[in-house]
Amino acid sequence: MPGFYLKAAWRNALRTPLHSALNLLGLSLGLATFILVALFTHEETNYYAHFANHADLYMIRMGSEIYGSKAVTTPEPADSVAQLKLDFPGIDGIARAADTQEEVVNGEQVISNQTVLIVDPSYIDVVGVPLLRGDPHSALSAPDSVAISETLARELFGTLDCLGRTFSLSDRETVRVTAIYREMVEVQDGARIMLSGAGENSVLSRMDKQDSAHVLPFTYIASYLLIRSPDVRARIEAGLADFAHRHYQFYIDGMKAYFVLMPLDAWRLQGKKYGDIDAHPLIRLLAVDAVGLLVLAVATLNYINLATALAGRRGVEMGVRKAIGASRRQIILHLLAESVALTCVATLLAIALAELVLPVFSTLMFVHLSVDYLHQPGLLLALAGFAVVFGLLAGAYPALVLSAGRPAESLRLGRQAEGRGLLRQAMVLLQYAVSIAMIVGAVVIYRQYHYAANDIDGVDNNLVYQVDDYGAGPNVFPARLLDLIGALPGVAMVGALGTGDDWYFHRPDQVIAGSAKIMNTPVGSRFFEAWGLKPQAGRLFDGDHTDTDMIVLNQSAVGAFGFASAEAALGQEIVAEMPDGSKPTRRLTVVGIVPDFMVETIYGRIPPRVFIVTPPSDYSLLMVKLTGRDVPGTVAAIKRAEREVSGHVVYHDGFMDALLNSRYLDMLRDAESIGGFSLLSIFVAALGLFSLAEFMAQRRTKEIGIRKAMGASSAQIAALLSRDLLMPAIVANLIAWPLAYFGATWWLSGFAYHTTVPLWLLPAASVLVLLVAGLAVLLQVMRVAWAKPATALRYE
Amino acid sequence: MLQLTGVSKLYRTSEIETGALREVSLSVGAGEFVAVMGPSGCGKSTLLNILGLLDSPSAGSYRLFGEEVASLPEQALTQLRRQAVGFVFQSFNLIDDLSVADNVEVALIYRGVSAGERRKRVAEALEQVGMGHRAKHRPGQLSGGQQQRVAIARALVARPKLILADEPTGNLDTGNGAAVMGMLLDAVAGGTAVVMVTHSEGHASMAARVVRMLDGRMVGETRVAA
Repeated sequence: MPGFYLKAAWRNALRTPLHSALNLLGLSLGLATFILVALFTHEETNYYAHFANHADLYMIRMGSEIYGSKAVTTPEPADSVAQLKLDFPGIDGIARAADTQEEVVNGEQVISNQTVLIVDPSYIDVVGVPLLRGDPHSALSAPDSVAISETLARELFGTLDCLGRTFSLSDRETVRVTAIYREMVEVQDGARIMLSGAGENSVLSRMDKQDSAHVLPFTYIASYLLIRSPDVRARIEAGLADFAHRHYQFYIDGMKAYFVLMPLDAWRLQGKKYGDIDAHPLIRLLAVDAVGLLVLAVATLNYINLATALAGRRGVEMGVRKAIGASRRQIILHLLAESVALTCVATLLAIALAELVLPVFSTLMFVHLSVDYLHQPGLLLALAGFAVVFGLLAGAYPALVLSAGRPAESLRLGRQAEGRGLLRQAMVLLQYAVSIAMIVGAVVIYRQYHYAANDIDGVDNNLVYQVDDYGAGPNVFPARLLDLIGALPGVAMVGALGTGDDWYFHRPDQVIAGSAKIMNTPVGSRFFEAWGLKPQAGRLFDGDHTDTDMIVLNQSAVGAFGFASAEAALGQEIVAEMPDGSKPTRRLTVVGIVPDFMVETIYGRIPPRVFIVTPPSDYSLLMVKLTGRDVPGTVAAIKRAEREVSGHVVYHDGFMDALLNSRYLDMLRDAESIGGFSLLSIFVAALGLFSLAEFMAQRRTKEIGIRKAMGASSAQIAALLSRDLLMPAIVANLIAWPLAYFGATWWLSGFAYHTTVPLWLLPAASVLVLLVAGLAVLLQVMRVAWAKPATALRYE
Repeated sequence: MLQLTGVSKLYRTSEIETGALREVSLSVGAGEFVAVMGPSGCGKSTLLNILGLLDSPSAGSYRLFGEEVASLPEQALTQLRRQAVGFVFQSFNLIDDLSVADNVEVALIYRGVSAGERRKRVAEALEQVGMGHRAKHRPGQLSGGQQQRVAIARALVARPKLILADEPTGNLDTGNGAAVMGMLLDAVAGGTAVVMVTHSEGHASMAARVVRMLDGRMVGETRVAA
């Protein structure tokens, strides 16, 4: 019997090969999207599942209270995890990883820009890194030992059996391979090298020797705690406030800091629950899921629509089948079996399609997705089950309609008696509404990304090379290093951000209590010039460090101090006090005003700032403005200077625009993926419309003949058909416009600084969709409308 | 009013060529009633399609109101059809999705008649064929005889000079057939020329002239005594 159904389905498909192929393709595209989105969702919700101990791993995060609202945004003090382990017995282990960029040199072979994680010797064991070779307990105990990923092992040595082989990092350290681990994006940035941090001079060792007060919060060290016992966990959570007071009074005073123990698994998607305002991937995941489901919905509607249209032409066949004895149940079964057979083929096609685009999609979404159907029979089974259920659901409507016809009527009409196709129109309408809304969404996200990454920070990041200390404490940038860098021919100037005291600023006639907190921002004297900032009023600092009691305000600070205008603030006196009186009060004079510009992410507002010149000994971040001549050579020279002068201090280098853009990369990926999916949904909808146009024309061939006999011109017929086919696309705007507009506005309102939804975008998206739809129906309409009326009438 | 001279119509498929009409000549005067008879496949319907400008002849001349129309472009044919021709088909050919009144109105819409005028003329035409009380019904809700009355109303409403009827009584019982013939005779009496294809000798005998066809040729012509 199944063979019979398959044969019938196959023959039926062959009757209209083009439309069967288009129908199949549309459905496969929808299903392929669904498979990709499902894989992505699975990956995101099981993000750290590759870490054997993921369920017992925790992070310590630091929050602070800024302008009355609590938020976990600040990286925790780098030594807090080690401190915690000392204070709370029962913690099973700690694992820290600092990252740096290195060149990998293996004889002639050089691989640059490799992220290297400098990790605790116990890292592999504590985290549960899946090893392919090597011993998890002892692999990284020697200072020169490295664990490398399987792909790097293949690249360097052509084999996984390379334990004991050596290579060097950035031309200086020779390291020995002691373990091979499975490739994972979950390890920071997909790092392919883990270097033992056991050495005396490693970042981790040096940090362990330092006093807490000198370890700055801004670190690049990711730390995990392994806590197996729930009791220990509860004890830590209860004791965190005391712990903070014991060791980090400094931060509590300065920024009302507090600590949060966050499960690693929660951090990825539920960080917001723990007050982490930078965590928004859950929304992102939901958006991708929603978009994926919408594409599937469009494809499904399309499929049902076409299946019903196709089925309508089989009225005679069904009439004959009934006349020779088939029951309604048998006809329904027959049609459902055909539908399931078709969706099974579509699913196979979809699996192939998904497999084909998986690498591109993985790169786009910055996840490592892979499917191994052979080793995941559950997945295959799920897909097969899905195909069957989907086939039953999608085939149900056409089967019920088609089987309901009375045989005599079907035979007489030569087709199924049918209504005016309102349901079909509604389905087409929905497809268009979804497509239009998705285009609007993608463009708005892209505009916001562009705005965030390029416009609102208000500074010229181009050619600004950033050299960050590692929270290594004062005097990290010796004068000699600054001189060396400043003297390079490719360097225009050196700006700097510094560390400084947490002053409270106010006007002489104001009191501290109740006044807004205005942030002290210590900078080098060439800070503004390096970022290409021009004063809005007054002047910038002069270059020779004489401006010790002069300050520059940003625009927000002008308002916060209550000055009427930027000009009014010039020459005014500002008082700086330490609330606890630990330092003598200073009296400062405003010499210039600069526009607001972004130092943090755009999820929060730009705070009012007082810029004050700080001596080079307090610099914590250099901003080296390059001239643009021989950029690679200059960067190499800066690195050489760092090594020469600073000994073992490790700097975190990179181009500012790249670093800033990377903050908004998620947004760009969202725009790209939603944009891609929306184009796909338009394409699928157009495929459907193309087929539908022909069915509609065929269904109305007689009517067209009559109308022509009654005097209708070809143009009038074309207009009539086009109107009926395109009307849903026009009415769809009524649904899509308000939905897209309010949805996009709501999404944008989540940003302190955002673009708007341009009104032209709505008609533009509609025009694009209409154009595609118009093209899809044009051919069919022309063919039918310009046919000789006698041909049309003879059809009957 | 119309004059066919040596008209042929060939249908080509990739393998064979069929002559549906061969060298047919025929003239019909204003207000004349001509019946066309012949076995199935003899070319009667093709003849009507050409007369009605639904199709163009492969060869020969067709003059309508003194103008050569055999090689006019599609647009001009549409214009002429609007001005001069009304159709009645064996299978009624009403548009299923439209009401009875709307079906009749279609003929006027394409002739650019104003909405008020259309309503008036549609009502008149439906009264004329005794279908005024069914104006809101769908074709599917009517009997065959009723559908054909609507089709005749649709043909009459535009006041054409020529009505082409393709076996108008072929699907009807005797009573309804007689009623339809009465309506056609009324139209002829009003000055409209009617060319009717029929299998019924009785109905053919009501025409002024009977033309007989066989295998695409005209094989005889009988004048019926008035």
